Amino acid sequence: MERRIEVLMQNFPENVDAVLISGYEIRRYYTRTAIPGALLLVTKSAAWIFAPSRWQKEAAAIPEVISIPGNHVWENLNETLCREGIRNLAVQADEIRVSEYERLKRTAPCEVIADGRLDAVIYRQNCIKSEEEVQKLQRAQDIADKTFRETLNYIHAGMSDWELQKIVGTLFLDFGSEWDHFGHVMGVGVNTSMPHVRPNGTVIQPGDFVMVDIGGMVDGYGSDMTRMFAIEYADDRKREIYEIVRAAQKAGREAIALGKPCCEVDRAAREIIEEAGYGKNYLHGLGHTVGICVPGGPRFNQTDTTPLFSGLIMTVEPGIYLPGEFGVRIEDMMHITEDGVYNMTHSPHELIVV
Amino acid sequence: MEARLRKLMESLPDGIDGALLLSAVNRQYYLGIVSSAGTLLVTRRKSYFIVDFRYIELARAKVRGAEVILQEDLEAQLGKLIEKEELTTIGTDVSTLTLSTYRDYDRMTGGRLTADGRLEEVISGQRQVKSEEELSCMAEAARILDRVYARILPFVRAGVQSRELQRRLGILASEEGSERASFGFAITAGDNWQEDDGYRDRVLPGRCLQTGDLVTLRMASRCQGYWADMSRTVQIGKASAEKKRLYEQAVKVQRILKHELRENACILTAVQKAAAETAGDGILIPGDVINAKEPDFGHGIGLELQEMPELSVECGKILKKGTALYVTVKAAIPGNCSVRIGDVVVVEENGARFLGAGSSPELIEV
Repeated sequence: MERRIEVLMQNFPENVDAVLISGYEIRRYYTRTAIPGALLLVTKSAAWIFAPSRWQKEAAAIPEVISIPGNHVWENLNETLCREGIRNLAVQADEIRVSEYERLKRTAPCEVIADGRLDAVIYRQNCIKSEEEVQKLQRAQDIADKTFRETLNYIHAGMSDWELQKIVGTLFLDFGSEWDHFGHVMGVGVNTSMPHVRPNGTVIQPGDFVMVDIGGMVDGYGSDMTRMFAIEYADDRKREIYEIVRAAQKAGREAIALGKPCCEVDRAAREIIEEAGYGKNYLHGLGHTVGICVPGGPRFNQTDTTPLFSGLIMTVEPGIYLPGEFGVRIEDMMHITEDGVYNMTHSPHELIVV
Repeated sequence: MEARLRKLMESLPDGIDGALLLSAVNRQYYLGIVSSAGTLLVTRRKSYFIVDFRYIELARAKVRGAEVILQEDLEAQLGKLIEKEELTTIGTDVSTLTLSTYRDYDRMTGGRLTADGRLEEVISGQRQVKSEEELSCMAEAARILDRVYARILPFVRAGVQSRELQRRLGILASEEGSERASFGFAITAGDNWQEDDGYRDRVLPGRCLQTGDLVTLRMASRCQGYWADMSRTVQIGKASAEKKRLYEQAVKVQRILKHELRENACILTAVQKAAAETAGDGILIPGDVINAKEPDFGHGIGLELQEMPELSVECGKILKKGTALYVTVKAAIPGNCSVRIGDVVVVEENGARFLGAGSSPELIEV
């Protein structure tokens, strides 16, 4: 297992004595432990976790991190900053809340830096997935593929999208995903024209499209995939749109190459949808990084010029949304490496009719 | 929603002449719509909601009391409104906004944003007190949980894996009409007496329930955006006198809280009265079992599972009628076992009232 905190220590922004990790997901990445309401302080030679008392046991079990338990985490942080003679502390501007930042500026015994350099260091480290992380994501994705395949056996016209939700959620748990709620993005019929549709009690009709945007979770690593399927039959209009999205998705996947700017990958897929005349119905970017939540990671969109680097796992998910009719999105998770680009999603791309 | 907005417009703190609200929950509360984007600008004179094409139709159809504007060039649009309303100091959601987002908006508003926390106090004070309509949603959510609990009990048996129970909870919550199926689940027995309530990232123990276990179930459900939360503890097999006493102690403390948490009561006083019941016999009652000096008996609940106020000794606030609270008590014999009960209540003149059925006064043996 790679030593994530040590890697961070070696990549401190210049002229920074210590860094503060206040965001839950990022802290979980560094400590491999999920503790809400805690703070992680790292200097070039040591690390401390300040966790509420009720999480004392979990905090104490984190290797090579000194645990300082107590409900007054910010006060305890300040004491340690003082004792260690820290002169300046970098915080993540993308994670720290305004009220927390104001309080820290007011009370910390040192200078507080929030210039974005720490964010950049952390995103870079987070985006390059280690083998351990790739394995976890692959396991999560395998569970999602299995769940999707199995779901097809149960869905039929006359069923409501709530029942669909229940079946998908149950199968996920059965297959070993640790995500313990059923809140996936999914919808049926006309609702699929909304990219982030949630079940609302709509009854599935023959000829409807069903959209499932689902993911498994293993050790906090969440996979991400989207598939559509049709109930009983799909009319020509639906097939036409589906095939455009499918072609765009394929073009996006095939455009991925090391060193290529993210926006060019986005363009490869977008061009196909635009040429077909549905540019204005493609409401979002092509994809994002996956795993522990990394808001600042590279994105496949029209403006991100970051050149693709090895170790990234990103989604490719173009879509067409026709208000009042239906929508289509197809999404895979791609692992970008020195040796090639691998599709971690194994569900078929052809339109499935059940 | 219109009345809610008007109330906020009337109660902007001194020295703050506008509120720029960006959190989804505030949009839901003041505008009655669920959206992942949109900027709500509230001034003493008028309110505006700037939202992109994805939600514009929804906003035009549903929003009352704020002018709905299609987002094009947000910076220019905000600039115009600020000039028109002559705003100089604008408050915002400081406890949810990240520093980066705050800086973006501060730039877009020409440096007029303030991190002054008084605006949020006004908003959370307003949101704490529920209307009849909000309470009826929460009561429905609580009734869903009562039904889920009644239906899960037959499955709480020796030999059942905790994972299976969790799955069953999800199915039942879905069937009973919760908008979001249940999340947490925790077993408290023997070696893991310190375990907290189910947390969303908790890896479930693979262990089977055994005869003699005290089992804690944590459930939540949501109805029209409003949450209810519930904790129940039951015994598999016969309970010892010690466990029964532990359970009854927890019920007694919850009853004290229910009596004390009434209109115009001080939270601190109520919490102290309940905490005074907790000493002795190695039985710790506060929610925080590790540090008995910092009792924590729950918090507000509504559009968010956890809202203000906190039921802790650090909260000196005076309760208002209509405040919805999740009142929870954990009792533990360190190193041995623990009990947790928790219910949603509403504060009334003579005490708090359960929105659901409330916990059984005696430890249930299954």
